[in-house]
Amino acid sequence: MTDKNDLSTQAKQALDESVKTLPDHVQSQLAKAREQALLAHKEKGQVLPFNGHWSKELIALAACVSLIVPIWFGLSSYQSNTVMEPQGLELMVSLAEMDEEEWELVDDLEFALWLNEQSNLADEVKSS
Amino acid sequence: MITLDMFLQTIENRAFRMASLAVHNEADALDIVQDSMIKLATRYGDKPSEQWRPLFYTILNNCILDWHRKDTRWRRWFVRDHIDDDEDASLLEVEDDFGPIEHLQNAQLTDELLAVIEALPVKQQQCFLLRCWEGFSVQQTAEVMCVNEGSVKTHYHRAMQKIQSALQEGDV
Repeated sequence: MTDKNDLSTQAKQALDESVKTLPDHVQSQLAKAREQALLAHKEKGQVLPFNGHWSKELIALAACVSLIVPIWFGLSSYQSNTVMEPQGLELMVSLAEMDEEEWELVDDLEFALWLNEQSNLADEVKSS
Repeated sequence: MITLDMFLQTIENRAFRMASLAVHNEADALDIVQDSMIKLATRYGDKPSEQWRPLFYTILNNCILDWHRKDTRWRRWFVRDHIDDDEDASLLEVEDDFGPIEHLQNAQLTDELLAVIEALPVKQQQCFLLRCWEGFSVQQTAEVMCVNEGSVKTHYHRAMQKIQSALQEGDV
């Protein structure tokens, strides 16, 4: 037993023997495992456009599009709102900063416009 | 030309024996072999058939080591209260709870040899099985085990020494 070659040979024989005497249920389980492996290999070989690797890429693309489109439209509508806001603010600020003389001028202008509208109305009544 | 089915048929029993010697559990060994077969078939099934054998044993070896790492982690969390990281890393090298000598008692020659091999640390066991049983060269074994050739020689030498001394002490 001390010789290493003898030891290797005996170990090899023991291992070979143990493989020959595997229980039936183990062998049937191994056969099932082999069938599953072969099936997995076969399925992998069938590369369809909407299967496996490609389907993952398509899902990722769809997710990106569904995320980008709402963000794009949201941003554009936000930008259009933000363009209007400074104009409104400017008008409010200029009105707030007007003194009494300027307010009187605005009132006079409004009165002149009203008079003009009134005379226009009177002309229309006469002609009719 | 050898088909994948034929190849798997030739190695499945030996692969199961290797796995069961390493994990000491029939169900886990079957899972490991099935996992290895599926990985080989899906990842390397299209490779030339002469490459399947070393690839399969590399996958099997990695699956066995993964099982041991998970088992070690599980034991650290749920069984052992205190264990250092250094201790954890060296667990793969640590002897089984039952030493080779205990395995030899009241057993026959074949069973005794298998028991001694089963009691070896995982890396020594893998190295011994690949070199002695599968007939891989030192270089091939190193590639399969992802270690250098020096480590293969050391693991194999230690495995042979342990088997030899265990059998001598057991008066086989």
